[in-house]
Amino acid sequence: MAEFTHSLTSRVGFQDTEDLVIRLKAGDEIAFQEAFHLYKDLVYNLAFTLLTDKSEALDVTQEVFLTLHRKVNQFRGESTLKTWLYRVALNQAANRNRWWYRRRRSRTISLSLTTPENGEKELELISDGVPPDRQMLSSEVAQALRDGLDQLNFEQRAAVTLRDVHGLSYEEIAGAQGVHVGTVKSRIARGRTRLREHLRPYWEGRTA
Amino acid sequence: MNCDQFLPRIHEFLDGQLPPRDFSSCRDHLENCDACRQRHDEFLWIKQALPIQRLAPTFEKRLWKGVHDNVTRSPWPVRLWNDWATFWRDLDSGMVWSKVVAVPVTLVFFVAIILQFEPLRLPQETYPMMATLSPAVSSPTPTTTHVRVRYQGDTLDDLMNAVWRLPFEDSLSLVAEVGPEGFAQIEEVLEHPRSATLLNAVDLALRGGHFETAAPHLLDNPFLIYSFQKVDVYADRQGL
Repeated sequence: MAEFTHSLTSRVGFQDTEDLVIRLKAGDEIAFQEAFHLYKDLVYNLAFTLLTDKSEALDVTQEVFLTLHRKVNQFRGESTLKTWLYRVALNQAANRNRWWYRRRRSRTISLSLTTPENGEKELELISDGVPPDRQMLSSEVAQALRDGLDQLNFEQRAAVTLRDVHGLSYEEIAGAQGVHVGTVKSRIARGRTRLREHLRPYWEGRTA
Repeated sequence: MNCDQFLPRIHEFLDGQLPPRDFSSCRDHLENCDACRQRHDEFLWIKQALPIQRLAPTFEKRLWKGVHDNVTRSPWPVRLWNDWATFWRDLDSGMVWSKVVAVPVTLVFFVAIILQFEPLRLPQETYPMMATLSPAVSSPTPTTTHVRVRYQGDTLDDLMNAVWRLPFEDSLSLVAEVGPEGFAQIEEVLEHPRSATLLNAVDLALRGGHFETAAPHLLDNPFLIYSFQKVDVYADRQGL
């Protein structure tokens, strides 16, 4: 997980986020571009995991960065910029996770799943290879994992994703979700337990 | 450490969030307990299996263009229009139609319930003096509809103005008798107003006005029943 964020940070070559915040507040467009490249994958990954819909995840990602641009002056530095962005992303995703969106999503086909006529796979996700701490999964297990995540409630899914995919500490997750650390621990434990129950057949098949 | 002590800590152990001493105890327990180790391995497998996804470079450029265009180029009317278009695009048409249907259905439902009740009738006790009046006046049938009189005079406007200045809950009901000379006199005050000014204004208006009678000898009932309220001034005869 750390590699997930670390590779992005090193790719941009930008370490001092405090300086980034100062420049963002000063309206520096270059700083905004750097912040976009630094955090876009983090935000998109969180949004996609929470919403399980590519087009909505992209909408959320765009909204998060528009919020960053418009409201960066409201960022008071009580948390890291990353945690603040996670919080904005969680709020945006929660708004889109209302029942009618879920209901509509269940009976519509996402455009992102269709192949454009010009052959451009613009919404396709890329993989830089499996990171060392990740596992290569069969498509069946991967699908079961996605289904299992979809069965968690929104808060549990967010807590598990922020911990296991994004590598946030319990305190950072608590800051992003606006709850106490104890609540975060509970959500992670319940979420993982439900995932374990859902994936039990695949685990037993793997170890058999 | 035993299993009952380890299992509540298993997630914090997995996440490396335990204090060093607890961490060592948990690690020692795992080495000696197959059941807990299997559960730990299972959680670890899930933890490491969660997917990481990144944007394709082509769409990354489009996403950046969308963000950049929004923050740099669009004037506020365009942004407002885009927000409006996004709102309608994301609005669930099924939800809208369900509300459009639900509102009239609910209204019809409530009207149907209300129609089950008898219309509210003013109890006779509201006007205790009504019982003492002559049957021609107090009978339920509108005997005063036979009165062939028409109010003549501009003091009625003053009267109505006086009524409009009353407190909301104030009211006045009275019976007036039209004399042969065409003027009316208050015969009985059925409900006294809180404002004495109103009563005086009504009295003056009736005395000062002139009631034109089409045929005095055909006047079936010289009594008029007036009722004055904050929101309305009416008599029991159309056009009076």
